[in-house]
Amino acid sequence: MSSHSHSRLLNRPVPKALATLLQKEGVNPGDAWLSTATDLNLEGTYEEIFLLVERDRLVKAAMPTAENPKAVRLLLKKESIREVRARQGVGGGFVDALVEGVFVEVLAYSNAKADNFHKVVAKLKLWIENHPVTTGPEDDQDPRKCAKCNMTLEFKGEICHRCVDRGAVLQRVLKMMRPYAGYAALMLVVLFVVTALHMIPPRLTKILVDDVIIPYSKSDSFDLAAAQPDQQVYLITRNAATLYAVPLSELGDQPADAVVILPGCPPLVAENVRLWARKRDLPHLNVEMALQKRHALIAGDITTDEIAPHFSASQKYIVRAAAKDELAKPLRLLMYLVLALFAVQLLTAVGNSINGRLNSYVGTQITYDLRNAIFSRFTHLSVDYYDRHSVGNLISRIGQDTGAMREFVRQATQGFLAQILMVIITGIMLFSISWKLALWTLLPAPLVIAASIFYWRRVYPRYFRVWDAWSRMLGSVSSILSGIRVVKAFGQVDREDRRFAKSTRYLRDSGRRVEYATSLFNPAMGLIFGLGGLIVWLFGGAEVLTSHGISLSLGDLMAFFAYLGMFYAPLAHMTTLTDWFTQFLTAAQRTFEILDTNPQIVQKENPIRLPNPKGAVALEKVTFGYNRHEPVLKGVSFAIKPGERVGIVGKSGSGKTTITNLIGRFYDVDEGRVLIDGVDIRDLDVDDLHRCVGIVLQEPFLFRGTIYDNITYGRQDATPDQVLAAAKAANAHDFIIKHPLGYDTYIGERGAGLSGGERQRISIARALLYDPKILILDEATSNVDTESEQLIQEALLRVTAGRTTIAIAHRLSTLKNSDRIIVMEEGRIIEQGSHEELLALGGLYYRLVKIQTELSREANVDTIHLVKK
Amino acid sequence: MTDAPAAPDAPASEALLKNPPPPKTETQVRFLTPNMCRIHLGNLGALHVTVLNEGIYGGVYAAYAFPVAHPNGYISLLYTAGEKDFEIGLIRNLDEFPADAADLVRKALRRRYFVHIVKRIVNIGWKYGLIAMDVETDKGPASFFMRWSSDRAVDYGQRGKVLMDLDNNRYLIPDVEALDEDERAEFQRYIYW
Ligand SMILES: Nc1ncnc2c1ncn2[C@@H]1O[C@H](COP(=O)(O)OP(=O)(O)O)[C@@H](O)[C@H]1O
Ligand SMILES: [Mg+2]
Repeated sequence: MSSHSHSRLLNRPVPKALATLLQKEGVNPGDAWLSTATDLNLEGTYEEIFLLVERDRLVKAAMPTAENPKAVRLLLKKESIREVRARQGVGGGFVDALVEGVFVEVLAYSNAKADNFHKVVAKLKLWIENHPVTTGPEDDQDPRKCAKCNMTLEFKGEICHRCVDRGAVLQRVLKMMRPYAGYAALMLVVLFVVTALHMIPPRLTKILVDDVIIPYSKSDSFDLAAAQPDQQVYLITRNAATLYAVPLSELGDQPADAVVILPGCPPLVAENVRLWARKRDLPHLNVEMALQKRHALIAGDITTDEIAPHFSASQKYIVRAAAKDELAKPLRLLMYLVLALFAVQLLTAVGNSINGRLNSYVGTQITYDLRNAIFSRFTHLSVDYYDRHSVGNLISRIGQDTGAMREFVRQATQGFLAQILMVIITGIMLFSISWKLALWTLLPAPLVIAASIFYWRRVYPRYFRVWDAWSRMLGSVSSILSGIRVVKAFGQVDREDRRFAKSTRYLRDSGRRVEYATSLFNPAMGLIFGLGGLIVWLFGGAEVLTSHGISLSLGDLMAFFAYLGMFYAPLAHMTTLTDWFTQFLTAAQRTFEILDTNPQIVQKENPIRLPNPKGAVALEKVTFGYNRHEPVLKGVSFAIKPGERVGIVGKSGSGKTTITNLIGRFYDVDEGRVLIDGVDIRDLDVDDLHRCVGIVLQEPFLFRGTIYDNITYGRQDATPDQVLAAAKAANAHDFIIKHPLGYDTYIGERGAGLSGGERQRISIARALLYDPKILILDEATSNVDTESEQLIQEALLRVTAGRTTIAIAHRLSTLKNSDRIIVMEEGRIIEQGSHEELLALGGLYYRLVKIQTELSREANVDTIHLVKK
Repeated sequence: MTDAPAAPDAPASEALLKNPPPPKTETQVRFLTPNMCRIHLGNLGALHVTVLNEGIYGGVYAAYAFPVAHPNGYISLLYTAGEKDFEIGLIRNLDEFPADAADLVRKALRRRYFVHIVKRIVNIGWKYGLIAMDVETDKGPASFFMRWSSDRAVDYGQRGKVLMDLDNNRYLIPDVEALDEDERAEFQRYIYW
């Protein structure tokens, strides 16, 4: 046999060592047409055990152990096996064989191997009945595993989590944003401008401080002791641009255009200078002030700019500040700078607002698109999807995951890009002001990063618990309040109080945990930032002092502080980037997962149209189960002629509703066919199918809205006459008309405000108005009193004339008008025929009828009671 | 049709020969006691229960009624006839039975409940939108993926959790609080409910 005709799983070669041992014990693994391995032994521990099936015996084999010295663990002759079955345990299952009237456990398997052994059992069943059976590569195909990576999927057709790569998700997000590329580009430009604008104010303030405020304000900071006594008076000649430190004695004859007196000049000297200056008509000399304020004085018609080059940096301030004639200039400068600052702030505000607007536009638009796409996917998905997913969970997808997408837009444009830009640019600024100081300020950066990581790892997840506690508490309130009658009837008020207290306590405690953590975290973060500031004060301040403002001025220091603030904050944010990004990707992925989920039930290409259905229904050897390996219907076949009335009876759980689910094609059969007018419904146009099959569900579902809206749900174009006729036939008219608002009465969620029977009658009216060729009534009158039911029955007989009707009922009297009755048990049809035929048969139907007539005889009082109501 | 519960298409008449019609336990609890029944192994290692004045049941398996609250008692013993399973009775407390019988039942339970008991969580994290876990269990180290939804990690009593991986294999953490501080914090980061 060539290897490609082998199944990887069902023709698994036995390891050499084991094969040798087996041969010694008289078993040749080469003889086995089926050879597979399980992962468990019957003690419930892991062990690799082989199952070999030859032409007429079955061998279980494994390497010998202390307890099992032989390689052959079990050997069963084919003729001794009557039946084989797979039995589900918890976390695993068993292959059982019926030998001598007893089910023997042949082997155990873990759930990872369940599918494999269900296949094996199917083959063994054929084998013991001497049917031809083969193994081949087709046995390795498992629709529940990813074809690429073999990862188990949740259901067949699900996209594999492992094989969708993240890059693709991101690409899709970007693709989704493509229509907004123009906006995105604009946002980026604005963002860049705004970030650049942020860099300007500290620069301007630096100029303000260094070149305006300090030079021209009255500085007390000059170190008096540093000035030499004989250097406190300077004479300045414009022509020669010379500068003299003049001893007092020489003052008299010196030619000069100006004189500068530095603070600390003894009063006597100052007074002499004044006299001297006045003699020479040099203005602006107020000695008193100079003495009082210890301030430099300039006398003479000269500007500070001319004098300035002659002085040291710190003296310069004093000199400048003294030049009264110059004050107009710094004031003007101050004005300009403040104006410039205002302009920058205005631009920033405008930029931010533009960006906010763009952002909000794109963000809301994307969530809008997404929500609609997801919702439309929800409504198009097959019913089975909702067996597997809780509605609450799906609601959160529409709510939260699309919210996460919006958050992405926001973060992408205002958040992380801006922050990266900010960190880089402010970093450059910091280093350009003083690289030494900048290095110092990097010192707390690791702490910032560490703290943020701590937050995301330790603090943030605690919010989950709080949210969970919230929903639990709300859940418990809603369950207790909606069951308040039960609570009171069983006298459990106090216990429910206690139970509620417990769930609020959980909320309180989990809330505390988070808040305690944040109340530690936030101040710690503050401390770290403060630390950075302190370092700047310490080293920067010292630098300003020791260099006399030459290598680092006060304005530099202030600018440094401003940039530092802009540097740390995004740094803290950036550390959360990866976490945030993963969260976003998960949300995006979950969203795409829904968008990518293919409905299990799909319309075929070029479906067969059925414009004028006749109403024949047939099931051919239908096998179907909601869960893998658990068939609910087992080989069900029946044929219903157009216009026939068929009743289906059977115990609850026997599969009656399941039949209606298949006829309505809420699910597709696993094996066999469902035919309408002789056409497999999988080939039919889905709309045509739903047009010709009307179902009154076992649990009537009404939407929030008026009674009228609910009755006309399937046919909005119905006339009031038709609505009245349908309601009359369903025996609903009489109670509807009693409501003050009649058919316009508003009913709540799921038909709140109506009794069970009233709801059923409305849903019958809805189906009758829909006017289907095939009408299915699934215990449609189970909550209606017997008398009303009689009325509905008569009406139905009238309005359903010429229609195929399938009625499912517990109450057998409901089915008395049926042409034929099908009796179901355990997913099989066990009897079928007319009422009389079945009675004559004396089977299950006969017994059910007997039980019910006995019951109804006893229940007569109740019935009368009901009718009188 | 009589009251015999075997479905009409019961596979083998010999099954009925050995498995007598079930007692009227459908609506009534019957506790099995050592003086009315014997638990023993039969042909090919199948578990058998012999009930006094009633007969021998073969191919018996055991199931917990209250696996969390009473792991040593309230154990249902069942057998199959036709396509249906019937309960022979319940064992109130395994200790009432002789050691070898109790041992047989415990073994049967161990077979039916294939659950990994998690001793230590080595690693837990996100991968492919699923929770990926590396754990040490009573059955050796294991790595698995599970979906992140509340029906895949369900309460086990007051403090425990049962995790179900993609293949529906089960991993039991009997007491989350008993995990090491760091492991618990990591665990609750993902499974916070
Ligand atoms: N959506 C579902 N998912 C899984 N199992 C289901 C589902 N609906 C019904 N079942 C199971 O299928 C069996 C038949 O159910 P159903 O057809 O509703 O019975 P009935 O005859 O009472 O209408 C029952 O055992 C039930 O538990
Ligand atoms: Mg039903």
